[in-house]
Amino acid sequence: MPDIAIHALTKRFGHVLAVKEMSLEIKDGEFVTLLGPSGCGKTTTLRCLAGLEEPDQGEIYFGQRCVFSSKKGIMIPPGARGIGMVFQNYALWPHMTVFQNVAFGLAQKGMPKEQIRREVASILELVGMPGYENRYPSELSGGQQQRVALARVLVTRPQIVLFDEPLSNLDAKLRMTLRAELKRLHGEIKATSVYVTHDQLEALTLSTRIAVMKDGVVQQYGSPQEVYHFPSNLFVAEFMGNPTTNLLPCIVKVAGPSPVLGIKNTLQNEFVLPGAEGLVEGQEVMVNVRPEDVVFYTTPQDGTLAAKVFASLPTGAECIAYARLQGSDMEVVLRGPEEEMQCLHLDQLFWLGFKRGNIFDPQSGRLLSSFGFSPRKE
Amino acid sequence: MMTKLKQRSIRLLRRPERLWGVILLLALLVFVVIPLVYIAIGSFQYDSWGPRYVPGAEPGSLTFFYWHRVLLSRMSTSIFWEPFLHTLLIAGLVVLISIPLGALFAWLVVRTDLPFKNFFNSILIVPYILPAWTLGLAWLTVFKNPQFGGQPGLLYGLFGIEPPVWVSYGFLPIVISLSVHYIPYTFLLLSGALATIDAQLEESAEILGANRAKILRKITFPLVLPALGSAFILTVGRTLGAFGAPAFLGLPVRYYTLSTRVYAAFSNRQQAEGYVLTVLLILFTTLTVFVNQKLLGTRRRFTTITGKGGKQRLVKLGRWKALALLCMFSFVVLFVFAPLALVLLETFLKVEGQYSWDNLTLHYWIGLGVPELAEGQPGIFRNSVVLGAIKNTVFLAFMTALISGVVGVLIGYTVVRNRGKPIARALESLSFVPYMIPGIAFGGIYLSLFARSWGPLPALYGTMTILILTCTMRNLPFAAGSGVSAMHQVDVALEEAAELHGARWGKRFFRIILPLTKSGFLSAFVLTFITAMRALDEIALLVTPQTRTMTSIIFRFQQQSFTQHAYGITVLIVGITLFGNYLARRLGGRVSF
Repeated sequence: MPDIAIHALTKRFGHVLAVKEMSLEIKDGEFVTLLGPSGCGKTTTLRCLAGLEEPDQGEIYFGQRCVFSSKKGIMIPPGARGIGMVFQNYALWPHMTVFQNVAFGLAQKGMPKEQIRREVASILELVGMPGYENRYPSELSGGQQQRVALARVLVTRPQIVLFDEPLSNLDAKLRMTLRAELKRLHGEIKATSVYVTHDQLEALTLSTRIAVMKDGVVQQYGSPQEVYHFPSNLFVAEFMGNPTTNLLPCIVKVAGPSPVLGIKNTLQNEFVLPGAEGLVEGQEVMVNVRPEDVVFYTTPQDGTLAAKVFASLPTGAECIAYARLQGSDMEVVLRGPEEEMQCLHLDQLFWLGFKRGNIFDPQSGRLLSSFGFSPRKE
Repeated sequence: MMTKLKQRSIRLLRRPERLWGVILLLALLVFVVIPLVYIAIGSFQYDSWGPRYVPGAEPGSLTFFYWHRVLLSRMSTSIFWEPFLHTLLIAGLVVLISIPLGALFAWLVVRTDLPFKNFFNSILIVPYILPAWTLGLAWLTVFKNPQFGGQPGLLYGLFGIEPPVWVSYGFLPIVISLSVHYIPYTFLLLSGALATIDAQLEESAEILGANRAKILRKITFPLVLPALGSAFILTVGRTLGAFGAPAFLGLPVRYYTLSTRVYAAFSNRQQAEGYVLTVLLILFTTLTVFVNQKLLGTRRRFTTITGKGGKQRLVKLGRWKALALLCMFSFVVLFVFAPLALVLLETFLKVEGQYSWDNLTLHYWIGLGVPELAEGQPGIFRNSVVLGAIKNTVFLAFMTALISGVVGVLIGYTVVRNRGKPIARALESLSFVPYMIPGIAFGGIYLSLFARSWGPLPALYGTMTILILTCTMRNLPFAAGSGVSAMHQVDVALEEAAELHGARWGKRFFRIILPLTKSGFLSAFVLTFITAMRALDEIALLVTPQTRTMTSIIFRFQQQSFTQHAYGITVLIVGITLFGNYLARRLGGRVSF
């Protein structure tokens, strides 16, 4: 399976710059997700890889083979790139049966009829849809349609598979099942995969690496753990929230190995961040702590913040609580197992501290320091 | 350099939507834009008759003579101002009649507990499906005045009442037949709008204490106002250019409208005068369409017609129900059934105006010619002229439907695939232009443009080709519209998925796109077929003895007082039209505007 190399890719639509000098290396057999809000250029990038859009500048290599180069004037048509693509709306041809849909690509290659029949049967088996050959797409459920769409792509044994938000039209439960299915199929087929989604949970669960994009530029490219725990800037930190993340504007009161910080624009709210290094006294910072990394005490503790719960949302296994800091209008979100959170009643005063998190420069959005994490393995 | 060129051309062929865009745009330029420019220039040039008016005038040299003659000279009253006044009066009165009636019918059918809804829904569009002049012909069978056109009508024949001329011909019958013909516009547009209003919008007003009249005035009416506006502009625009009814009902008494003036000018070979009148006619219709865009383009944005519509409760008519039902049935009987029956009956009368059993005959359908009846014209099914015209008509309608179907799909494909690009906008607006050119003006333009050869293009006058071309171009707005909407149903990804498998454009088009737009294509085909079959306005000036169509011989027979023949062929057209419309509805199509 080939690796994919994108060099300084640029794509404009009229005056809008959809992708901006983007470079990305995807290793052989990887499952890379392009993640970002709508309009960030992720789908455009994918369509450039497919050859459905022609980039304005840059180069794209599949292994040693150049499939696009603005300089050399190379633009290999999509059908000749050896790729498969799964579309958001399945794009099953409604006037053809499942068999005809899946067989289209094989017939296009000139495969003999008998062999096509066997190949189609075996790929339908693989995606868990055996015996559905004679159904029409309209007779299938959304999940089944997506499985057939997968079969249509995989049957030609593409070396690279592109996914354009393939699960976004399915309900939550089905999405979970198909995520697992996709992971299994990727394990079996090992095709280099590029997956576009705006759902960070999907990106985290499926990918070997995630490229977080914004305004046509890759903000961070790394493993799910890196992107989740060590966001390289504020945008990534905020976007990777699950479902949301805490961002507290603070001022450094006392620098040192365990600095004292104060919430901006308030007088009393001071707290200690153990292990946050490299901060300067008087510096304005943005403290980012995920809801599950907020710890709480029902009795006053040194270096913690007093707060009151104003809404509590139990989901069965866990609970998400919204609290407001005393003497300010800042909100903090906490998340934890439901039985632990039970002791936080509405309007009850409690004290919270931060186990681990990241500190950003509020102006540039750059990562300044991390605290509370066990040493990074790199 | 060569490789880049080669790369480019390969890319163009792989994704040929731009290539198609250029080709289609060029075709529209040749067949729509250039003709318009040509007649605009022609209106400022002396034609071959010029020297008779102005001694020493050189044909082709520039002049304001015709504009002056039409608008300002001694003759201008009869050439332009009087027909113009007639046209405006007719359009105004038609609007005043057809819009309130259409709206009332729509409200009754959609929002009240009136019974027989399905029946009214299908019968109330029949007046529009039929050629506009059908009602005019039926009117004549009843009110024909023996002073004009020889034989008396039903009123005289049965009761000896001689209706005054203004009842038989001219303003009144033209207004009535056009009003009835255009009621379906308002009915269709408004019943669509009424049916899609979200019931919650009205219910919330009701919960706040508004009574029914207030809801109707404050909520319902503003919500359907855009639809009413469209109906208004459509009706005005179409009435201004209407030709058939004013020709049948106005020409015998020299009652002219702008469109029949255009016809008269061209058929008297007063070309330049025809150009001036055509330009004026196009200007007026364009103006109404323009006002439509300006008024409704901004309006439509704040309408809240969602297209889904909650369950609406029906207004209980109570004791009004009987009256409403009576009105609706009388309308249907008087203006739909009776005219058709009268037209049919007329074809069985040996001598017009004599309503007795022994006057019934099948002579005009299957009889051999006898000198004392219709100057020896054989019956319709034995008449070589009629049979030739039927053959021509079927050929014309079939070719028109086929060509505009294919062109429509191509335009739809090109517009949708180039969405957002200037070429798509240009193509979409250009293909809409023929809509603003009244049929008779269209015929006049093509008549003068294609009477001679242009480079490789031979002179087309007198061929079936020019009829097909005219009908196709005239039908272009509808074809392009249905092509675009059909193509919107086809997700781009469906084509891209095939492209990823390496399928070339031809294969993608024939394997994926055409099959997916098949039902739209078929219903558009049938609707175009019946439209072209009953076309009169656009071809009235273009037919020659070799290329006669059914409509053109109806027109000629009517002028020659071969009434039964004219009516018989009308019956044939009505029959085919109704059947075709039924077929198109079965195929999922909708009545076109």
